[in-house]
Amino acid sequence: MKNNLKLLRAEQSWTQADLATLLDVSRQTINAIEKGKFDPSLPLAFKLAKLFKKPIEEIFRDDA
Amino acid sequence: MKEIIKAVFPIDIPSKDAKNATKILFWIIAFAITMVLPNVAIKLNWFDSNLLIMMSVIFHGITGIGVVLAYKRFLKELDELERKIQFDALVVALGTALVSTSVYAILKTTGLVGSVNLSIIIMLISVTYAVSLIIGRVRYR
Repeated sequence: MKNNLKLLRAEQSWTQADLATLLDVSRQTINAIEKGKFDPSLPLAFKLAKLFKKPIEEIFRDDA
Repeated sequence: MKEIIKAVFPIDIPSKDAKNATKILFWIIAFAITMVLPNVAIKLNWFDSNLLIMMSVIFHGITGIGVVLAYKRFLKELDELERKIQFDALVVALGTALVSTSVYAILKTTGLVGSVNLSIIIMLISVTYAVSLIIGRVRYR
């Protein structure tokens, strides 16, 4: 699964650590999601959508 | 090397995970003490009745349950990437234990190997779990 989390985070001028604090996860989790190494759980995806005020499908897209 | 050190000693983990990990450490220390103390007490004849031995065994069992419950809570509240890494490490450790004990059972039946101390299996599981954890943390960096 691909995502544009890095871009959205940059638009807000947030560091990975800032975003991790806002979502109550580790910085490694944010880094792994941005690199496409780890797919977040549905609750975390919803948290991201709420935070960036965008639908989930605008943040994540299926690359299959 | 730097990545491995960071994987062994992760510093930027959420505070609740650090707090829960400390609780596990407390229970593991209590578990180890209640395992070592009765052995020492029996060797030095400190226990003058079977009741005391039974009580020490029960106390050891209770601390063991404490470790399991603390670890369960730790996993439940853990950061989701770290939880995946922990589960992967547990699968590898459990798989290694199953395969090695079954291979050992066959080898023992054939007489190719003698009796092995149970502590070796515990050590094997622990080492496999620790190595898998480090590999997982390095992989997701």
